[in-house]
Amino acid sequence: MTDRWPRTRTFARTALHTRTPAWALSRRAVLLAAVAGVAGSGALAGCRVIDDGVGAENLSGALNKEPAPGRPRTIEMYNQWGGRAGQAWVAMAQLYEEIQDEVAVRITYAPPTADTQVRLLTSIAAESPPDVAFVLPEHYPQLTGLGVVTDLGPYLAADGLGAADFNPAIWKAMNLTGTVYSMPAMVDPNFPLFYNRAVLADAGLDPDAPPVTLDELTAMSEAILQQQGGRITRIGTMPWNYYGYSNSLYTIGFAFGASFVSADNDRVTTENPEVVTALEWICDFAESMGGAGNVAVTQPGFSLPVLGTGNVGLMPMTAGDANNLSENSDIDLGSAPFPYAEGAGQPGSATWIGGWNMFIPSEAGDPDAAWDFIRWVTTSPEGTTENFEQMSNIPGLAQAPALEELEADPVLGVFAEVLRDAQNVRPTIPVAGVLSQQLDIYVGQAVFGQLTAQQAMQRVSDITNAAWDEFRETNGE
Amino acid sequence: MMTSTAPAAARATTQPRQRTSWIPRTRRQKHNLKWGLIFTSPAIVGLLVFTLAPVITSLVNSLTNVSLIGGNSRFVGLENYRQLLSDSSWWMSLSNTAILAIAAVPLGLLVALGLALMLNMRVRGLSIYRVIFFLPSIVPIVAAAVVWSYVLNPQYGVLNNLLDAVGIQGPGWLSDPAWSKPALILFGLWGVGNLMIILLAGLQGVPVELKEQAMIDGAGPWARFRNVTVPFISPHLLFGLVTGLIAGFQYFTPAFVLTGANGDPAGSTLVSGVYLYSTAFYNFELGYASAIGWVLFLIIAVVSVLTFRLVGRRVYYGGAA
Repeated sequence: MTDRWPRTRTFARTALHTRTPAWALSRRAVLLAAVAGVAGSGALAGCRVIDDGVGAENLSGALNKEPAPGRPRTIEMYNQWGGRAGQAWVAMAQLYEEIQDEVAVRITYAPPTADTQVRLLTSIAAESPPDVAFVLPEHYPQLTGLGVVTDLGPYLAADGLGAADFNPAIWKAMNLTGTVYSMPAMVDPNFPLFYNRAVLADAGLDPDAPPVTLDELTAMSEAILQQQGGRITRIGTMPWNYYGYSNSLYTIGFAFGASFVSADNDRVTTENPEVVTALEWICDFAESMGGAGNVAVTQPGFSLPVLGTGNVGLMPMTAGDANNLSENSDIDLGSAPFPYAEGAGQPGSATWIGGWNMFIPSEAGDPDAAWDFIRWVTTSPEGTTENFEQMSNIPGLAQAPALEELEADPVLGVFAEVLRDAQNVRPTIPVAGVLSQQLDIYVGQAVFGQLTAQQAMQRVSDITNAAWDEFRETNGE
Repeated sequence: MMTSTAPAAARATTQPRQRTSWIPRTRRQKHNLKWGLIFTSPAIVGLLVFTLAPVITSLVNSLTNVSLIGGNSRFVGLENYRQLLSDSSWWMSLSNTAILAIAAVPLGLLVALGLALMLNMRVRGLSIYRVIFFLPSIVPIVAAAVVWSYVLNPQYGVLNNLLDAVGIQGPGWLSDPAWSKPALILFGLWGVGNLMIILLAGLQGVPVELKEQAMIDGAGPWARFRNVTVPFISPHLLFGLVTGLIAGFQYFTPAFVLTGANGDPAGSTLVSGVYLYSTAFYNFELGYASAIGWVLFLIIAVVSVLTFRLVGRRVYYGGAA
């Protein structure tokens, strides 16, 4: 091994004890090892990307659309979806232009940033919004309270649409603020329980006998559970991971017959015993399986629903995800209504209605033309059928022909059953965003044992109700 | 510890101070001023419109309950600031931010210094090594975060597989509240390249003669590093510390990309920047979000001043003279 001091400075070498010890590595070796470590990590990370079977062709194509030329009226819709869903909305607009010659539709791709439609919010703040946009049903009361959405009641009345035309739970959600402000365009009957027959069979369970109660779900999960070291490499289900902590608690809470708001819809009641019991059930389940933090069942980069990994037995899924999984994997899927808590809930009580609604911002340039497009998409036989066939979007219209198609679908048919039974909606309140955020934080803290279920739900209630009081004080009831 | 050099101090007291005026007197000065303003006007206008105006607006907003969209707004004085004191989510976010900053900044300094010391060695192909170590810091942070989400995957990730190889069972880095912050700190080390370059520049300014004198006096490698190298690069270390703390308190993108806007899991990565964002864009409380921003600014200012007071006096500026 040689010393690498520059020659011009070697005058000091003889006077110093600078002999390199025999065990030392050369500087170049140290550098090379460090470089190899960095490069190797990157390369290995890249090599670990798992092909999820979704081809690139599904992600290409236009997500924007220019309006058909020569029309007297033009509306703009913000399209927040990418991939096939985004392209399908372009196709929907083109079909709408084909069936009439009055209104042209411009589609502008406005992707969300981590679930926030920043472009839409900015355009509303700047008083130049699109004519049509999407909102979660439970979020529109906030927009209503802030006075930025158009009242659709007169339009519905003029077209003779009312309670009899919609599924009861959907109509209930549409009317929680007294009148209608948004129309159901992508209904999520949440949730059927889907299961991987192969995983059940491998665990010695009958793949044709899905669980009916939560106790049966727990028993099946124990049979499916596999651990490697301290990690959970196969699990029955993950009740804290049903599309986020908040949706998980809604699902299990409804299974226990819980209500998250007071009967007069003016106060959040997450501290109620049924909600706390539901959260305790989730926490106990996580602990009995070995801890939520030890679950390691999803390959990095895996973009299909988690049931597609082959490491999970039973999970609830939305219609879009179920369709995606059945089309892009060879998983043998079974489905059933979501289990209920024996002695607390009843069969079908876990189901609730989610999805996305269409609304007209109050500063929209042509609300009448916007309504005509929304009416076609959400209540016409042609529009609802096309919407279902394009994207598996389930209509809210009770007599939609697409529902017959849905019922006959081998994978999605169970959603028709859920839609019929669904009685619940997520709290439709002006501070739904605060509630969702607090549930995500505190349900997580309870699941990881940082708080008891009672403490966690009390905090959610206190924080959300305080925010609601503040909202009332500023914007009125 | 030495302070500034005597000759410099002497110059400062003996030389007469030139009184300069920015008001142009001659025709040439006026001409220069006019064209100077014309050429700098894009930057001046940009500063006024895109920095000063938003800063003033956010200060005014913080005294109101204005919403991001629509709604009524009124002047509420310091109510938003008072509410912050009883906002458990804000305290949670502040605590997470402080933990990340306090842990990540010294660690980042150490790693950057270690890399800089290695890259200050004279070996063949040194410039290639320098480029390789610097490259990660120019990778867009969102792209790097996505790659790291693969690296940190508990079952299939590179990190846990390496730990497995030496008999250690790696944790669920981003899914376990106890490990999510260490995961973010680890990810932060990916971008130490900029600081590494600054420290490398500092190391190259350390006089070789002093090191050689120390060697002649019998100082070993550690003594030379501690008593010669560190004092000369202390201004660079202070720079890294202060800018690191400022960036640490403004921490946003990695947490937002890797663990979402709710600070999953269980709020363990809910940092102040993310809480500010979700308050403004999820809950539309623009006034309250502005107050969060201003308190964060004050905290950063206080931390910076304290750092200068506590650490700045131990810095040796003789090397920079």
